Amino acid sequence: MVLTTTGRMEVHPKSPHGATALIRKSTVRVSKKITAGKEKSSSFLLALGDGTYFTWKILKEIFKLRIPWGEFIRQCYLVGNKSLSLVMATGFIMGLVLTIQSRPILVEFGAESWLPGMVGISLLREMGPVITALIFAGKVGSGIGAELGSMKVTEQIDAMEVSGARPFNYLVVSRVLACTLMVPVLVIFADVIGLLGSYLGVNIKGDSNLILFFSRALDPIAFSDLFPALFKCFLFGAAIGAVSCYKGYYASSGTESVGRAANSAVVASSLMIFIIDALAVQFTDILFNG
Amino acid sequence: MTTTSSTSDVIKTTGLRKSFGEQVVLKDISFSLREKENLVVLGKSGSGKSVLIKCIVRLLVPDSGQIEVFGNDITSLDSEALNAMRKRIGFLFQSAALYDSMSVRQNLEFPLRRVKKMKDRKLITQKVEEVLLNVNLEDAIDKMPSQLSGGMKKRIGLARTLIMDPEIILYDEPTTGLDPISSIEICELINEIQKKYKSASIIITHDHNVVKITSTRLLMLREGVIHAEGKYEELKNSDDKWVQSFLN
Repeated sequence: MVLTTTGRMEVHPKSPHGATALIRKSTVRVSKKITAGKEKSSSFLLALGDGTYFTWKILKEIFKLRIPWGEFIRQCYLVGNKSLSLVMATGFIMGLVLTIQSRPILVEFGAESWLPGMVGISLLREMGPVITALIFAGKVGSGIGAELGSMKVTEQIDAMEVSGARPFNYLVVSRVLACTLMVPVLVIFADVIGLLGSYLGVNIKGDSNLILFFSRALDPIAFSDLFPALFKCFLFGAAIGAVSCYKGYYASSGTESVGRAANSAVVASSLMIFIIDALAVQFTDILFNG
Repeated sequence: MTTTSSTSDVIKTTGLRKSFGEQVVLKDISFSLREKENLVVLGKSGSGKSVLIKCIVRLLVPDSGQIEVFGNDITSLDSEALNAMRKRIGFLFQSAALYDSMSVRQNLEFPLRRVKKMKDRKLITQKVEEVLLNVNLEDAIDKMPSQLSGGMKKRIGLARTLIMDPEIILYDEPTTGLDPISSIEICELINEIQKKYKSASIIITHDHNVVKITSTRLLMLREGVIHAEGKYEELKNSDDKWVQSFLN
């Protein structure tokens, strides 16, 4: 043992006792880290298993056509209507900003006429779907996570369960389907409004008419651009719905968990959007570009 | 499916055990609920009372033991059969668990439309008004749950349970958080309902009023086991100090 400058007694690493103590300490620390790592990985695997089972249950209900139509239509209206103004505003600004920022460089290369086509492809293929899905995850995903989390905490889900009302079907299937359907619809709105924003951007420093702009913007867009973009929108919607419902439906007790459910719904949904996007780009590349 | 229990027993549990991790909450619980009786389950907070009734409707799955409801082992039912069974059981939650995005009317209509698949609007309205009359809250029909007091919420929760015409009602601390007058009103309501609907009930409580007013029979839980069982008058005169401390 030695007295350190701070006045604390510490084990001297070179003393035989100190070395043993240090080894023991390090061993304990390493084994604690291994245990923590094991716990983390096992909880990750458990969550993965739970998530897979949850998705399987949703698919089973859908394939058995056990769809709560009334609630599904109500949710379509709620999630679509709730996000429409925000999605349109974002789409408009996205188109406008993209046009204003791209213009100088295209002017420099004498390719100003390519501006509508470039913005059109960017919006339709990538920016429209991804940005809209992210906004949808923030607005609707957090709402679903908080709503179901709060229902879980206040025993409303249990109350449905014990009355035989099949809450999973009523609450989860309706919301997942509504998200799956509404994200593509919102993306279409965002794309059209984004192109209008771009048209405004073009006309700030130039002069173009609407029909000419739209024909130049849509001209380079092929089926191989549209189909994968639209298809991945359905996947984004399904992922946002399923992840948000999962986080809310399995929220633990306590009001704190409601906030946590809302927060993790957004984080996990956003992550899923990027993963699906990366995979979709790869598949599209293989399918359409060899 | 088994039909071993006595014909007058609507619920029968045998050797019921439930633990959460290391903590054993229920240890070897065996009891029965007879037709048309109010069985009050009494015990300290954390003694496993709520866990017991949640196991009966399989909101929680017991570690071991058997729970027979109407002669069927509830632990081995598939989801369809379990749902069918649950339709015969009403459950009043401690917090009433009203659906807070729905009005009182929608709360009451929900099980009729969703579970009983009723479509006739006139019939649904008639049924809703009837149960609201039974709990003396006809005026609250268009209110939202956030506009109701604690006692009113419990009454509406009870109305939502009654609308399904249950044969068994499980009450989880029906008077918790209520003033003594509202508490006595709820107890009297439980008795009225029992007479009118001829249902059997399990009432979880630690409220002396509930025990005195509603109980046909008492079950006292202590540290996960049944410590005493009998009628209120019998247990009140018991020599057991723990029972005495609870009932006097």
